[in-house]
Amino acid sequence: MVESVNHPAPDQLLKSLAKELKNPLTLIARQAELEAMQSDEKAFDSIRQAAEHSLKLVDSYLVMAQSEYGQVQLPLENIGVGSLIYDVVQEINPYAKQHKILIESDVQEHLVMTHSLGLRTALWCLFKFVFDSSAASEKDHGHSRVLIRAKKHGKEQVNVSIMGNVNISASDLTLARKMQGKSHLALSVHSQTSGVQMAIADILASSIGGGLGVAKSGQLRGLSLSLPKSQQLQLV
Amino acid sequence: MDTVDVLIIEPSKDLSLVISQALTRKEISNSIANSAQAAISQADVATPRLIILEILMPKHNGLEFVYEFRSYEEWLNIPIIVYSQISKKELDAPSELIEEIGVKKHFYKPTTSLQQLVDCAEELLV
Repeated sequence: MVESVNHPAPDQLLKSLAKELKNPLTLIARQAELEAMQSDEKAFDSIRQAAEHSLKLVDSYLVMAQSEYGQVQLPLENIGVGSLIYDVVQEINPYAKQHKILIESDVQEHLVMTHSLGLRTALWCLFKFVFDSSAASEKDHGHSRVLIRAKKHGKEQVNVSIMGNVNISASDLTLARKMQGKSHLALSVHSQTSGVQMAIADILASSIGGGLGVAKSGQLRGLSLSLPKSQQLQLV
Repeated sequence: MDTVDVLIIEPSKDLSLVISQALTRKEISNSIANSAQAAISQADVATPRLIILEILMPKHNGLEFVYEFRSYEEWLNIPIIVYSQISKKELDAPSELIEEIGVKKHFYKPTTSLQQLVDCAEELLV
């Protein structure tokens, strides 16, 4: 008699795989860093950045999986969106410079009710998505422009938009949501990205109390995270 | 009694060698232990001034190891840098407890460069 076997659910297996990937990727990144220190060879910087990018993607997936598959509610707290954006921009700037992308900022400080790590991860994913799309397009004076904007929208919302040369419309976003999981299909014929980062950001947006939409400013197009403004108590 | 600047407690042999070489470049003497038991033996041979520790170790939880390590009087005050695959949030231990066991800094491996780790070690060894 054949025993029935309980196989792990695909999402659990994927989560375990993601955790497992961190070890070899960390080793590649740190070994490349050490070689770069010792030999000053540019190739090692590229290897290191590729490994760190992969690590970040794996980590982004795990943060998303924690809320989505782990059915854990990411706890919401009051966050200063301007300071958080500043940190993310500092982190992603070296990648931007390497790919000749100029980040412009139009950010107002607002308190939002969200999850800090979830928002950082979502912003990182959106930046990467917009960078990867923008890098493929024509460059302005040798550089692509990416604009990050944080502004209040009505009384109860703050919108954080990341825009570049991204050929995306609201119907593209709807289509991408239907295609979720089919990451080998390009989001748009003008994009060289599979949209995985966008998919992760989309799922994270819901779990951190927000939503994802499209954004535009002049010639620039991209994506926008809408977040609830923090409702502060007014003492009379 | 012999001393060494840093004891690296890291289950990955390859990664422990990378950390060791990075420290050696800065003339920071170091020894490697790839398990909790090896760490106790190494510390016995040469007392470290600082420990770099991966919490996720096979067969032995890193925090339990620290408690055991601290039970020896001569190792009570050695500062610790945690350099781990689990983040501070995932560790889910109160910060007072972490401070109490002498952890001076917690670095998350995927997002911490070797340079940051070495710089922190240099600061704590002054």
